[in-house]
Amino acid sequence: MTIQAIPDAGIQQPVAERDDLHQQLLEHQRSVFLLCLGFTGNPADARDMAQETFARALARPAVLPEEAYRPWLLRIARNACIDRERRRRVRQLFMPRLAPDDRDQQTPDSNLDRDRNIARVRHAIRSLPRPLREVLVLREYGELSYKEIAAALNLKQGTVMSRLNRARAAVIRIVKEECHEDQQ
Amino acid sequence: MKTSNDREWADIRRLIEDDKANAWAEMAPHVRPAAPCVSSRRRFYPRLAAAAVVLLAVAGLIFLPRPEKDPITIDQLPFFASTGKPIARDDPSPREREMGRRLAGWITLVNREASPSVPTAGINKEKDKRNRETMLERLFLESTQHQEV
Repeated sequence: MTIQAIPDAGIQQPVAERDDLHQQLLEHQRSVFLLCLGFTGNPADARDMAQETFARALARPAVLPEEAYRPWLLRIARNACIDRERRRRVRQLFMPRLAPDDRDQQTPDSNLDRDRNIARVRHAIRSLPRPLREVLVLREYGELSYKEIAAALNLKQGTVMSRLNRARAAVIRIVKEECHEDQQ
Repeated sequence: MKTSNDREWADIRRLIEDDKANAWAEMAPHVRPAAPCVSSRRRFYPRLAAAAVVLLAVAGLIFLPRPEKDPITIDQLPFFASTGKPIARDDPSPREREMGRRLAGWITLVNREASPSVPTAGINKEKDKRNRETMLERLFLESTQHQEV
């Protein structure tokens, strides 16, 4: 089952209101960056995706109540990350040598246990199928509630919870397997 | 009662929280504390406006039609005696009118004599030519004498 990207449709705003919008968007920088980190798996790409998210949001600002800005922004971030993933997959088809992205496993501190474990978790999350991964990332990195995730992905709340359970179980299994391989 | 999965997930979740904290700590110094001063597309650009005004002024100086100067009269020319009249006159003098009338009559006469409708058979062409020259000479002399008088 595939989940369609939600359009980031918005309504054009007058110039005078745009500065207020900038300020409101900046309050959610951390959430957007962390969500992108969950999807991309490394801080550099997460920063790029966060920039793209804000660029998209400012290009088509929406008139929303204040509490709706965060889910709206996170939805744009999710769509931006999915678009990036698609582009990367196409690139991988034509340039398989350039595509592998293991930057998070080559950090200078990767000899430390904690960093290695973090890298394992990132890798495990990226290995999940997209329906499970986006639910997990929205929950753990985006810090959205079940209700917000259901609204963002156009799913039932029960579906969100079951996918989240499956995603957690899959991450635990993958991390265990990697630990086991490293010990051998 | 917590299952082993819950405990393992708690460990993983701690790692995720560490990951988030580390990444944000690295990123936080590079994040803008306030909205940048974004220039609006509808903003008034004084330099651009000034440049446009200067360009328009230069274009006006170059392309706008200039007023025509007054026509030159003979008074303004230094090598002729002043007659008080402009060079281009429309009304001819009575003398000029008389000369024109004479010339017109003479041309009519010449044309009539040279007309092919007049029978020429048996006429001495050499004599005719001489007569015509004599007559032209006489007419010319008459008009010259008239002018001198």
